[in-house]
Amino acid sequence: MKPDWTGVWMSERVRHLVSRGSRGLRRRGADRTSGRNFVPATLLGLVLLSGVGCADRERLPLTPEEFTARGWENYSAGELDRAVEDFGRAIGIDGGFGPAYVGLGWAQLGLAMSPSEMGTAAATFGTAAASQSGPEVDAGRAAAELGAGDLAAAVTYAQAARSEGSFTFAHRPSIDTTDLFLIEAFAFAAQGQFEDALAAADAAPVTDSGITAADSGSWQVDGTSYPTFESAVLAFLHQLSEEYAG
Amino acid sequence: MDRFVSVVRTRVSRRLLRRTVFVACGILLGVLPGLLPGASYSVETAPPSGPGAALGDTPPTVSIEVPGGGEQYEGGSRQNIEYTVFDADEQPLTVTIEHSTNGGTSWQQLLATTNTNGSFAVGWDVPNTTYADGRVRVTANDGVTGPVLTVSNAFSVVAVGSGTNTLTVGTNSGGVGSVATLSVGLANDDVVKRLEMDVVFDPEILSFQGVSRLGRAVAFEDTSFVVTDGTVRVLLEPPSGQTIAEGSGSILSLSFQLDASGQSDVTPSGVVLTGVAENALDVTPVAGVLTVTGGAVPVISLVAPQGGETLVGGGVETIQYVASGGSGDLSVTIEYSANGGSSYVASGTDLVNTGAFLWSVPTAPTTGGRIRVTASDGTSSASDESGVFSITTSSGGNVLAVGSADGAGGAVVTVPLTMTNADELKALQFDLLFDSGVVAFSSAEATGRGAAMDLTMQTVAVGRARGVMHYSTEQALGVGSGEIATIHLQLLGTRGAQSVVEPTAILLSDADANEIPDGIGQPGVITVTSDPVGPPRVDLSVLRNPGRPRHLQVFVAVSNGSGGTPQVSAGSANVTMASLGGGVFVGTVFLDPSVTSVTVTATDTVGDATGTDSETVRY
Repeated sequence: MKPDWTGVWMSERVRHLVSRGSRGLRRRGADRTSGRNFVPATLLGLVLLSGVGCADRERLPLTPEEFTARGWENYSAGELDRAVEDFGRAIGIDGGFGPAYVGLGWAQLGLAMSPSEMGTAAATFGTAAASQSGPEVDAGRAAAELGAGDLAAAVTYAQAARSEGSFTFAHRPSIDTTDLFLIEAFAFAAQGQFEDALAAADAAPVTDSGITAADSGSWQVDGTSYPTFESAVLAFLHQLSEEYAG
Repeated sequence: MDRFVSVVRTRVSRRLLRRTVFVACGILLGVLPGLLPGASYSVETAPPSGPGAALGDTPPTVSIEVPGGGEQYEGGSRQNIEYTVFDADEQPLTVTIEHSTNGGTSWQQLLATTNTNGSFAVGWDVPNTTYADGRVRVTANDGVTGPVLTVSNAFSVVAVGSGTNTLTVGTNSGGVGSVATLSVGLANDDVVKRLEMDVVFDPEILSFQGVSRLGRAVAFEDTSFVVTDGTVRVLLEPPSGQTIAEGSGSILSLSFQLDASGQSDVTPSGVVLTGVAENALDVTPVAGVLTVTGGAVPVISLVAPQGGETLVGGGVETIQYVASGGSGDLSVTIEYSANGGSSYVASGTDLVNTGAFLWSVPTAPTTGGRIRVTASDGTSSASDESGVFSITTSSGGNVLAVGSADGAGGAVVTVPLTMTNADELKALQFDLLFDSGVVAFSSAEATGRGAAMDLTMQTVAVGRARGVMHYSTEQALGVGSGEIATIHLQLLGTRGAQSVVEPTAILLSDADANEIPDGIGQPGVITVTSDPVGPPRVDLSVLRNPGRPRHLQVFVAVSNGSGGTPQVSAGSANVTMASLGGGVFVGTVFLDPSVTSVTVTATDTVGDATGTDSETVRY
């Protein structure tokens, strides 16, 4: 679902314009001590504050922090292309600005349409990790590695994220600690390690499977019996995916 | 015993009454010790009269009225001997009565007494033995003229059943599927002329096969027939007056097919034992038991090869054998020895007992080849082995060989196509011949040495698939040996079915498109190891990446499947799946943001049976 941009845009626009106007005043004041231009500038600001002619204008963040902040806003709003653009601008301003790489990684993750693009996202998280830490980085990296097919890495980063305590992704709260367990479980499963996959899934703070490898009678999910342990584990992972993934 | 009390026919002469009483007293005092109790008295009768009567030295006359000849007495019964003595001189006569069981060859005295003229009757207990030429002899002696005797005509005596007769069915055991016999013994005090009985058994365990006569009754005739399920009537009787004499021993053998494990009583019922006088004899039947165990020992005999043959390495030979016995189905193992039997390697295990096995002859030459076949019912086994045979191999040339494979019915098996070429090849064409009831061509791809070749292969006729391999580049298949393609064949038959897969119509060409003659084909053998089992079970699990829900991991778990990779699609796109082993496959799907839902479907097919699962993912 696309967000209602109207309210966001208006409030941001006002704040942006106010901020831009004051910075412009400061800059101009610094450049030009003459008060000749003060009045027109003020008038222009008032006009803009009144909303007249604002539809044709966009805010223009100037710092990496601002671009990053706007990037997250766009990310949260589902505007991933814009988010990528903002994070990219932040990086363009400051190539060592770690938070922008975090955001860029999540945005790339959200846009990836191939394992290679997932790999790109994973690499971005790797860059971010050089200066940033925390579950947000590792969680994104784990998801990206899962998509890129580096399943061992996916397990590693999912476990790393879990080790940093309870996690809820601030910019998409539906992604939380349970997803870290799921990434780990899915990565194990894709490696054919179904007992490890089940252990990770059962460790998630949600439903317990009740499945054990040695007891074929336990190979049931939602009342359906499965002929093999593997198929039962996969059915349980599917159930978790449907209810909790992302 | 009342009926055995002697009856005396008397013609009393009042005049001689006192003398008669005197004689009777003499008998009672022991004068007639040969007479049986209660039978020893007589009376004097009136003297005969007539023209021949004389006095003085006239010898007496004796006649026997009873037995008169032709009588048949029951052994042990009481009968009268009636006779008449007359002496014209009216001298007292010394009378002796004797009995013979053998027509007069020997005599046993029954009575010695003194009579005067008259007819007399004495009681006689017939001995309880059987004889056909019985006689009675009466001798009268007047002490003057010498004894005069008369012998009766022949009579017969048949013994009656006063003895103990026991009919006993024996016990035995055997394995399921075998035939077991039970002997029937008769311990008889009486002479037996005929036997009739029902034999009752458990028809769930046994099936009646027949009767044969043994020992004491071997000269008899037998008749047997099924009365009801589980009851057989058996008649045993002599062809012409023969009997089973007193004694004991086997008279019959009952044969049963052992159908199921367990234990069945085999009970003689309604036994009628008939004596020689057509009299019913007392008989005590004793039941037997037939125990059916798990099975008889398997038996196997190798028919071919027998030894002495020279086989061609790389070819296919039919190993023939005959296996039977055991409990339940037999499984057969075929083993090959290249060293005269010092050691064996299995060529086929747990094979269905079809009596024949298509064997891919090893390519390694030997002069010490042997085949050993073993049949097992799981409990016991039997083996047989061939004599020594030789294997030769052809050398040189360009050999196109198909590998051998085993698989479950419905499964797809993969066999290598190997080229051993002494010439550089640019292209080749071949036909594969196979039994269309066992094998169907599925697919093929160029591999190994031929990986760079283009391969097209398809079924061109029933039981025939044609493959064409060539280079579309300047390359050529260099001289060498190794796999050039893999061929996938679907198994259509049931357990035990086999098919030779033989390369034929081989055409080879060099880089100049010239044909290279003499392409040699070496066949392989495809064996179906188990029956097809229903449609495959396909379980599809689509997992969303928690960080990227439009990245889907697609897992497919297949049970009882083809063994191949299942077909998976997401919408209209096929999904490439990789095997994780154990019938589990994984693939990846990335969905465009514009997609609001997609249905993922997984399918696996075995023969005509298809298993499928699908799931719709919505955003």
